Amino acid sequence: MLARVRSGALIGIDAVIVDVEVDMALGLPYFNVVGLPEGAVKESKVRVVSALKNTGFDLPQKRITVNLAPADIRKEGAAFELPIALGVLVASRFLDEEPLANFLFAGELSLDGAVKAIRGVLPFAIAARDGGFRGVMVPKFNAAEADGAQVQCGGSRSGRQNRCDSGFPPSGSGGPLERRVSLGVPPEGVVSTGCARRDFAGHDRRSRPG
Amino acid sequence: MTDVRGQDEIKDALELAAAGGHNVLMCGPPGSGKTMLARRLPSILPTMEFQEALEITKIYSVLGLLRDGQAMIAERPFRSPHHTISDAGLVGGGPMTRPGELSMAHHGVLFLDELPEFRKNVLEVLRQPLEEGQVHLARANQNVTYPCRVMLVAAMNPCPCGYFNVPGRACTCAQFRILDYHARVSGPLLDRIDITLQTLPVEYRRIAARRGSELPSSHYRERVEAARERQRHRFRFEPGVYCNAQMAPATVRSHCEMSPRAEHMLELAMHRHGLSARAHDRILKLARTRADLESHEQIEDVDMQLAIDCRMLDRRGWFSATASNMERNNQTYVSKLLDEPPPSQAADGFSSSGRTRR
Repeated sequence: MLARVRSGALIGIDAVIVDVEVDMALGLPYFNVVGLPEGAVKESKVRVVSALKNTGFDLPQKRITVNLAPADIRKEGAAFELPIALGVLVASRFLDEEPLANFLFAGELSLDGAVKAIRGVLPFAIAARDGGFRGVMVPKFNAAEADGAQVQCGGSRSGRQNRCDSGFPPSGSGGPLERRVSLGVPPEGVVSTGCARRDFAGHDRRSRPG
Repeated sequence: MTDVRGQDEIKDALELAAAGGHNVLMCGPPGSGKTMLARRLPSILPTMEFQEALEITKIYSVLGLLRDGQAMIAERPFRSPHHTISDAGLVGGGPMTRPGELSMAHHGVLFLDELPEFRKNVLEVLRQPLEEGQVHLARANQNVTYPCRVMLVAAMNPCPCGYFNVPGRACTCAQFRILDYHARVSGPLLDRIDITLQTLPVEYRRIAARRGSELPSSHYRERVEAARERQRHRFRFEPGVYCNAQMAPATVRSHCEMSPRAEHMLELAMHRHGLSARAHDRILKLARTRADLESHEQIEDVDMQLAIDCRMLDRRGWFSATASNMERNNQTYVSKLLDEPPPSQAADGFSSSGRTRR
């Protein structure tokens, strides 16, 4: 079965939307990532397989191919591990694809399934907002950065925790405006840019039970 | 700012630089407060607008420098790289294409202490980013652009021993060494510096005073904020311009109205010194900042006089005789331009009396 999960790749200080496609086919066990992965991305498959095993998902013994599209952009960093893992779960029919479609995912996985911090979450969240997505799912460590883009975000700490909810509600991040004021950035600056009160995907930012 | 004794003129000049985002070069003997003053500059910088904070937070996010739970960078960055930095470390790039120190100081201050000690090629890579506010990195497989609108603050000694042209001390350097030292800061780089300052040693009375009469940072900061507010209002229809130093040439024409006397002064200075068009625009912007600080509607002659002095006066002070330094407090060089016949061309070069004091 073919699964698709959306993520983002950093180019400079901006991010572009990347599709993580996962295909499972009959054949000898095989796991490969294509789409110009560089450096840490090439090691991702090792971490993904371990993390999935250690969070209790028994993967069927099949031929797994992961494609990071578009294929001609360099993809760096370990942020694709969470979307790859989710794609594998969808392709193995542990999860439904439907709830994941409107969100962007990023995060590095440790071998026990915990989601670790990544770089570049703010541009990632801005790309999600501009691409019309409902929200992002990022490591808990970085969840505050996504607030800056006024994006609804869910901070995920452990892989097991968020995988078990097949309903997949991301927890709302509260009051980005309040948080920004407490950091000392003047609220006048926020209002004057015109995006302070802008609702993201038509929902009121503050009341988000998810 | 109360930690720094004396140096009131320097503090005023730094206030001017902070108000408009202009580049500063401080030249003076060791221990005259250059580094101390530069490090206290963040205490008088104006607060950031949301868009500025967003841009700088993006850069820090890409570098992975945000702390757990930190959503936004709230303070203007202050970067002070050591002078052994490489050119890739300064502008960015390297094997993984990361932003460099210039971009990390975006919308903030890049402080280069001991400017002649930086490698020549590193200083030269600064030229284009300082002018454009962006650094374009073209690599074999991708092109990346990082923003880097910085306020450059540089500090240097006038010569290797540090005491050339300093009243009360003798310089022990050979002439060729002094020329060599100055040559490390190239002409094009100096052209991009708006304010050149000479820091002089502080009198004992000021240093030893127990109850300081120094003005606190809040005094300067209020004036800087007020000037920035005027600039915000001026640039409300121009996206991406946050202070006078960032004005594009077309914007300069429309916003920098001068009084006739100021215009005449600028024209004289251009002819006398052979200033470039870039210098012309930068002087205009500096004068506009001074006018903002003093709440002048258009640029008055006193604003223009100060702007030209900031750019020209102390550079000449490095080379010419002591007399002109002593007169500095009484009469500015530009007013001399208007009243007296021009100095002879021979005085422009290296006068022998400037080399050693006795």
